[in-house]
Amino acid sequence: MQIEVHSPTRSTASGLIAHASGSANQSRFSCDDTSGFAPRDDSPKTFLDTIIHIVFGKCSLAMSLDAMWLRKAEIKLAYDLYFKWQTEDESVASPEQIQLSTKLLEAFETDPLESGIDHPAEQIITKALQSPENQQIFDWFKDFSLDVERPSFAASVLRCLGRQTNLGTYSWRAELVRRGLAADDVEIRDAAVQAAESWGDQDLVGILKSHHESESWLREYILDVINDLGE
Amino acid sequence: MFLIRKITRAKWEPKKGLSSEEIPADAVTVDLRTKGNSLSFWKCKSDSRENIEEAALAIVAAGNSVERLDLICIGNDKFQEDGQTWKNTDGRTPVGDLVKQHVDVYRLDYVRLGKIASRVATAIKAGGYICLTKKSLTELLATAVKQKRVDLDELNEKIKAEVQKLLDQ
Repeated sequence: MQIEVHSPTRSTASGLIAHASGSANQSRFSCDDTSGFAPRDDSPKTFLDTIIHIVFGKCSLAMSLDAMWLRKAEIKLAYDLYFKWQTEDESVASPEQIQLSTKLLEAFETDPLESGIDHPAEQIITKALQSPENQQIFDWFKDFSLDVERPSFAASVLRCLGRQTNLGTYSWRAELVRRGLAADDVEIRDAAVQAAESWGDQDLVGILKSHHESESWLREYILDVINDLGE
Repeated sequence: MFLIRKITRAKWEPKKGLSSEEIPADAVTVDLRTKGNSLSFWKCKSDSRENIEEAALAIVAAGNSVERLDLICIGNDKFQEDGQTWKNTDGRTPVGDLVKQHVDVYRLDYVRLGKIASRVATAIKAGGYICLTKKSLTELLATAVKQKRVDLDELNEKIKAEVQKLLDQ
């Protein structure tokens, strides 16, 4: 029997968000009663691996409830230490950013985003934007909207941002549309066009015009939006 | 008769790890979400743009905001071939003369839902798909208001504001 501990593989923002949602981008560390904790693949040892190894040492399957509780607390401590260590690097996600992305992920998992229908994620976004750390929140939303590891999530966030009126500055919106259109995933590109259409900035027409779209249906939609916004 | 349903076009595109013939599961779970083993469709006489726009009007008028709408259109003969069953039900829309233009495809199980997914995917490939922009939908609503097919006050506040802006121009 094996117990698995999942940990982020990368020290980037998207790697940490991946951990928070418990899905992609995880390396696996196996634990059995003979080998202790050891990486299964060839991924390099991280600070977190080391902590887990020190905390757990060899792993026994015979555990009391107290021991189980203690282990959970130890894992939490290990992650707290890991996050504290990681936040020294500005490029990684803060716990608050992870918390916000988790809230949004849960909202989209519970209710898929539907065209023309309000979604609970919009309230989460509105509430987050009321924070005094407003500029930082805008950066986080940009990260979420361009998260290529999770294109459906990214597209849903981008579409919800598109539903917010007078959101951010023009240059922020323009950058989001430009970078969204540059994404490999068609869902993100489509969401970028929808956001542009919804915000209705005539100045975004230039960005749409300069984009070379490979999908014919999206190309037609872009042309329609260019016409609509240009009028 | 043709049956119309709202979809999210991008979800039906081939995804990483799936071949172009395979239907992404996310498309099914997001766009073909059943309630009581039934799926809601709007019906229209033909697959002309004008007819499909009637279904679009019914859908957008019932929403919270005006947003790009992707619709697929499938002939009911295809559903008959697949052994689907449907019944007339009142549609949820403030456009009075469209309420009766609605059906529920019911008694759906895993296999029959899969057949609907295949029909949607085929319809998309065959061009049985229409995209209506925010502006064109707002124009549809404004026309319906002018024709007194729908009362402006019955529309959601955000939609009402968009339509009013257009009517004031």
